[in-house]
Amino acid sequence: MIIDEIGRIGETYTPEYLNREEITQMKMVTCIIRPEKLESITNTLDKLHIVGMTVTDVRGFGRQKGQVEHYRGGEYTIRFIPKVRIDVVVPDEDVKKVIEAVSRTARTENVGDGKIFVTNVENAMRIRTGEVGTSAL
Amino acid sequence: MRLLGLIFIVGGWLIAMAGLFVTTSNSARILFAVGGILVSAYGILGVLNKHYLNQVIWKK
Amino acid sequence: MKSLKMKTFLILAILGVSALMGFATLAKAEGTALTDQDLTSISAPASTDEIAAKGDPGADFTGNVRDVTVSDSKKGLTLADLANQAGQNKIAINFVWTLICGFMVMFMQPGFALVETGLIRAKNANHTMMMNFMVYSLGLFAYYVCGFAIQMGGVAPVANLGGLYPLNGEHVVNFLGKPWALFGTKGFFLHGTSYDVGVMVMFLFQMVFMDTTTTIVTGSCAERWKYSAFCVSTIGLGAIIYPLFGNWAWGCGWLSQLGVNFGLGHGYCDFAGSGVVHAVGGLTALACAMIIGPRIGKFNRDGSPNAIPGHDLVLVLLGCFILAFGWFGFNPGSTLGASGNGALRIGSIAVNTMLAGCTASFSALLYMWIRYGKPDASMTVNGLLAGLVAITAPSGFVNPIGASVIGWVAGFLVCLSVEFFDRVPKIDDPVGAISVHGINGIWGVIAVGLFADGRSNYGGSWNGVNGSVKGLFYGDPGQLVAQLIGVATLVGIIFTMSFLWNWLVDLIVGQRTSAKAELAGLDIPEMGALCYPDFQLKAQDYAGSSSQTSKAESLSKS
Repeated sequence: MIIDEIGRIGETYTPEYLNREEITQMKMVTCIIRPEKLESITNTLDKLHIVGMTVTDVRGFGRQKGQVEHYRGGEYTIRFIPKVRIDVVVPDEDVKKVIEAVSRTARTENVGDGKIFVTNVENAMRIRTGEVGTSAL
Repeated sequence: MRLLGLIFIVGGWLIAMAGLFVTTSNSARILFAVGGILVSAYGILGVLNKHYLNQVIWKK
Repeated sequence: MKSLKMKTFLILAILGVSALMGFATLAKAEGTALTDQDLTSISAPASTDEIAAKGDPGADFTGNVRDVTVSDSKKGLTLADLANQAGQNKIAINFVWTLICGFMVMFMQPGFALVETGLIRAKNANHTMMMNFMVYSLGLFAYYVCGFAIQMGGVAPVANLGGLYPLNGEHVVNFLGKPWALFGTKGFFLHGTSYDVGVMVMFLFQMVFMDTTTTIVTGSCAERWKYSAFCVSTIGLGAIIYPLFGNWAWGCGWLSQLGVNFGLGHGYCDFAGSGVVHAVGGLTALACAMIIGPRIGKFNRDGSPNAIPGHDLVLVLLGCFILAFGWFGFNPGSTLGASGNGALRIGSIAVNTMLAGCTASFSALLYMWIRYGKPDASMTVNGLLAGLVAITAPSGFVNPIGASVIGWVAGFLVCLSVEFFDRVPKIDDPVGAISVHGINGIWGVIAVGLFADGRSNYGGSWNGVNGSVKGLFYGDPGQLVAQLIGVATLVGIIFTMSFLWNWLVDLIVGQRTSAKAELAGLDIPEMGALCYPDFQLKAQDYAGSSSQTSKAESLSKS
């Protein structure tokens, strides 16, 4: 029930979906890290009570150059370095602490430490129960 | 080019065999044989192969 | 005068007495000669009832006179029976030895398959394994139909295998006053007179050697050879090309008779086949690789080569050990026996084989390590195989020091050769087959003419010339001439035959797969199934390949 600026009392029209909690904002935090750091970062996220992550084996390069190797007398360059990509979807309020924790754990101060990207997530659903929004996380 | 290569290759063998009939000295026969082998090798890697190198995918 | 009479009498008397004594000894010897009667008194150490009652754990009673085959039970044991048994035992030992070694050489097939498959990319693995698999069946059948007859039709007599007398047909041409034995004429389909126990053993043993030749070619043409073209090419190699050179070298053909006809040492000597098997295979591989052309992405526009690493080095190294094991059948088995005619040299041959392999892998390892900073696994494997290939021809004729030196040279030779073929004639050889088998096969043939030390003895002669095989360093330059004539024949005639045959196959069937198939990986287009369907295959990221792929794609569209 609301009271407007001239004192009229009425019911506001709230569309169904706006009323429900699921429209809280979420962000996807994508971390490209060194493969050997996977174990420690998983533990870090665990301590932050982040439940659920997706891990992929990827190859790539940033400023880290490739390696020149020899095979049967011929030279070849391995341009892409193996990395690990971790995707976690977290509520907005957790994003900052996740980024800080992951970067602290993953940093070795050497070229090739990796990158963290943050993207918007429109919605999420838990397939088993049908829950949507942050309760799906 | 291919035919020329084959002529070199078989010709090399004929040179090596000729050494058996032309002379009886082993040293001379060795020279004939080695010469024949080199002519054949040139035919294979120099002449015949050149024909194929003109057609390879990375030249086009 | 009196003294002369006395001297004559004395001489006559001495002669007479010695003659009498001689006759007496002869008579005595005749009296003690062995007869069939004496054999009846020999009895076994225990009767069959006694053995049945107490068993024989210590082999005190097993294997005795009772086990000698008696031809006529009424006559009992005779001297003829003993003699026949001795002969049959020798042939039995030789059959077993030859067959077991033949089985070991057949086991080299998976060795070759693994080495080649490990050195190519995963997207082609099904196709490469299938090629190496089918050389066995295709080659065997081609060899059975006519290859064996062409190669061994006229090889009789072969003492170690009981004579092989039915194989007595050889086509000889007379030219310029010399006989030139060209091919055999007996043994087609192993039919008629060739249905013979000895011939069967010889067939199996020679067939697995032919198989080794055909499987070499699949290595240099891998990753871009059409399967249908491979089948046709292999049949030609196994039916005609390999058997012809095999006949000239081993089937009493003209190359082996160079000693008899031209006085060149013992003729062309090739103990287990550096020339017959490996050089023929390597030169055919060269012909096919030239006709088919390099893989897409191997060479850049300026001609510089790119490295295309294999997908599984574990397979390569495992395959190498399997080959090294099988080689113990390849070389020592070529005595065709373990009894008689110098066959007891099998130990020496096996040791020569081992030594050459290990020194070659060592020199290849050192070369790559010093030249490029890190040891290269695939080149070390190629080094070991090169050493084994190079010792194959001299294995029966050299001493261990010679074997070590031959191996040492072979290791360096294969490394230099791989680099040469990549950079100078720009022939793409994914597994190094041309360098390992072709170049080192030729080195092995030449090595006989240098290092054969004249201390071996295979029945007192070899290739119809008395004495033992000697090389240049031990005093016989004629042997080197014969070996060089063999090399000239390989390079001049065998290469030409292989080239013409594969040229024909290219015209009729088409040797190379389409660019689209090659880029996708031959597994699906040619074989219809991935080798590794459970794994995500990696995209190529090697320098140079992207420009090649776009060019190839535009070509395939046109």
